[in-house]
Amino acid sequence: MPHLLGFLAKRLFWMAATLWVVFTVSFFLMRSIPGGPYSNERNLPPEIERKFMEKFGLDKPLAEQYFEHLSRTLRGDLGPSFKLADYGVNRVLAEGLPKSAALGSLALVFALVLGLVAGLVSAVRRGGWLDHGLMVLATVGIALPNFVIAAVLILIFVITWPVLPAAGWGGARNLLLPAFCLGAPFAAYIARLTRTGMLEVLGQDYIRTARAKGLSEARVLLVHALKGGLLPVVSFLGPAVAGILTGSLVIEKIFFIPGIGTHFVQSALNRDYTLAMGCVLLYTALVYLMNLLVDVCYTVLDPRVRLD
Amino acid sequence: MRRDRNRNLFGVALLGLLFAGAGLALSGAGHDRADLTFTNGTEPQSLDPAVVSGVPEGRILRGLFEGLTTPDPRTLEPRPGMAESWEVSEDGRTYTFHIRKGMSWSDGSPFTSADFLWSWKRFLKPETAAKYAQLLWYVENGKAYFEGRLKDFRKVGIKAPDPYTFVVRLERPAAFFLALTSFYPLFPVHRASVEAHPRSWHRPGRLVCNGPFVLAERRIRDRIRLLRNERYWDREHVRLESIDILPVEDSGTALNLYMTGMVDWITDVPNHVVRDLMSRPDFNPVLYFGTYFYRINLKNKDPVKRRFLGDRRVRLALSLAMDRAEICERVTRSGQKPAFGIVPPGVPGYEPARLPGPDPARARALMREALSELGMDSPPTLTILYNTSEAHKDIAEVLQSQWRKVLGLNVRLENQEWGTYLDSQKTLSYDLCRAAWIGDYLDPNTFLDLWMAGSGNNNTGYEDPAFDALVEKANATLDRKRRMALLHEAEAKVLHDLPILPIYTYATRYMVRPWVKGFHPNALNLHPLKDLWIDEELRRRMRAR
Repeated sequence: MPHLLGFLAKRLFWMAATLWVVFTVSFFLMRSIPGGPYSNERNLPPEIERKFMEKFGLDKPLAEQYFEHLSRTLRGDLGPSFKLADYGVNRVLAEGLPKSAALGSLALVFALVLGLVAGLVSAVRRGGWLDHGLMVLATVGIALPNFVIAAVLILIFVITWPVLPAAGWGGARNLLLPAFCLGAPFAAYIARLTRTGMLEVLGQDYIRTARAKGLSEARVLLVHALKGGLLPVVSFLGPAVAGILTGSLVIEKIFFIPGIGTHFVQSALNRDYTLAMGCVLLYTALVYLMNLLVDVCYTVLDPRVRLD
Repeated sequence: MRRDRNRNLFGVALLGLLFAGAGLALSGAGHDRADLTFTNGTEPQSLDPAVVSGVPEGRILRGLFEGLTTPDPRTLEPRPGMAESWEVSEDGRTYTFHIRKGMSWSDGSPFTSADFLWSWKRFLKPETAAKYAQLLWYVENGKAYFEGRLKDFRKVGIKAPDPYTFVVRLERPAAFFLALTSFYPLFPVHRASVEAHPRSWHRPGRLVCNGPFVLAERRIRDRIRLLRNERYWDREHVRLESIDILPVEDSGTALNLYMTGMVDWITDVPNHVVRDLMSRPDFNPVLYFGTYFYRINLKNKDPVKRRFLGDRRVRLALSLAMDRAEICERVTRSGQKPAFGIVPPGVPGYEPARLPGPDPARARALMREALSELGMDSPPTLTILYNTSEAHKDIAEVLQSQWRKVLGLNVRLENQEWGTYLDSQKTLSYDLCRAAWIGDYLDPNTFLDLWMAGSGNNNTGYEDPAFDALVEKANATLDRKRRMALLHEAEAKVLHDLPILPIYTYATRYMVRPWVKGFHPNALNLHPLKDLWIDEELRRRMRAR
């Protein structure tokens, strides 16, 4: 236990350091691109632009703005959003993240169930038509952008055979199509990774030992082999989970899901400095935490791996 | 074995957590249907009328608040709103509004002229940083107060001598001022709630308003629900009880929602389906008070291009070599009309000035003449700048080929991401640049004052004191006919000097179900929520079919 605590403390320290670096780089990168939050097709008269800059402290020297933004962020306040002026960034993220996460969770369930089953079947039936068929399908899943999958599914399930709503947020039915579209490429990756992992494990001595002991094939596969075969999937899942939970611009746009994927891209295009920073920090923290979780999972799945 | 079970539990717990999270996020999201549902393009920047500047915001704010006057959706003429009547003084500088008696805010507090006084003062205060603050610069000392040069608001030409009289004194006559009083930035806000919650008074449950509807619910990028305001002075004429406003950004998604019956009105449709939609009875583009045009940089940093584009014959040759009809017929294809002037048609009593139509022979002759006089063997290669979008690219490509064919001119295309493009335009770092302007109020001035020397939206380097004097003289003229003649002269002047190349007049792109009644096509594309109602009988009948 003390071992684990020490490990966590060390990792959290590095996470804080990473966040600080990301904050600094993003801050100066954002300020170095042309335009600003006041940019509009309709230019503000210079007098009004000046007042706007004063109101949001954009007229101060860059270093001063940097330290102000940093100290406010350290106090847990990500500041007001420039383009969603009625809200603070904290509130925007707090409203959006659960929705992206809900969609992402469902997508992940799809991806895991479909991917693991397909990968397992492929590995067991290596070289058979089922293996080839599934792997071709997986390759297609990786290659097809999800807006194409979305368009096809909308055509089938919304327009031709209207069983699902076209878009919007409201009930579980609204989530089925977007979650499937979001999860499909992940399912395809997981299928390929599972297959590779399983094939490698199935050739190892301990599996032969297990079989020699007379265990049933199902038990050999699902208990002994799967655990090892899952390792590549687990390392893929860390960053993938962070990506899937923070939403997807394309899927959120097509299905009109009020998650944070849209904010992520739109805030950068709008030069909404504070909101963009909030999104970047949130994503960094999530990627870091998910990787941490992956490392912990490794020790559970493979006794040879130790935390350090 | 026990460790195994623990590990399995770990996996099951993780999966359970995922589902629980999804369930939690979905809880409370269910909805009954509103009387009217429409898509609004994007999430409003704010519900504070003083600080916003966009069309989607306007649609919502006109439902929540009401100004001194309100535009008639049929004629766009100002009709009585909070003010039941008004008078304009002989010299055209003093407007006296008579506020209706016995009105109240949505929280029941009485509404008086002091509410306008306080709201307009707030609007002008420097710390409010109102994006449309220049609207009240027409008011006596309005600009001085905004800039902080004047501290005493009593010296500003805005007065409320008694609870039902509101007097505005202008710096100089501005014939379009009445139209501005129906524009949303000048809507009144509720002093007590703004002062009590300066940063959150516009949240549901807190927002106190004076318009036909109240704010019942607001979720970011999800929906805004309005309910009828039972304390609105004209509530007998408000027939919708509830409205859902969806900030759908993708026009394809909006169309899917419309086609599957989930929304009744969408404000935009995707380009690629426009041709198929043209035959539908519920897609009726009408000309819209907006112009799509190219700016010409007259202060180019490249000396050769500066001399080249600085020659009026070259600019006229560019215009004469353009076949605008080809763009409307082959590219935009949904009711837009070729534009030969900057002011779109539709202003009553205004005769727009017009550029000559396509004339390749004359264009070639002008170009040859200009080149030999400038001592150039061939025209320099120019670049068309546009913000990244297929639609703008298609138009630029058509012009590129027309100019090459007619004038032998080499044109490159360059696209930039939105913010960068705006910056290039503002800093005059372009040769030719795609642009558009939508009028705020139905008056030529909203398209002409752009080209005045100090205008923040000129962005071409064009400066001509004679033009500025014409616009100023027109706006100080009280006689409407005479004023329109002067504005025509000003437009003719800017078209003669050609710092811009008009391309087409916009057309509306909305679709609306036939059961939405009280919806009148008009040039400003204004459809006040107050006037809309649903023919339930028709809706049921058509749905059943």
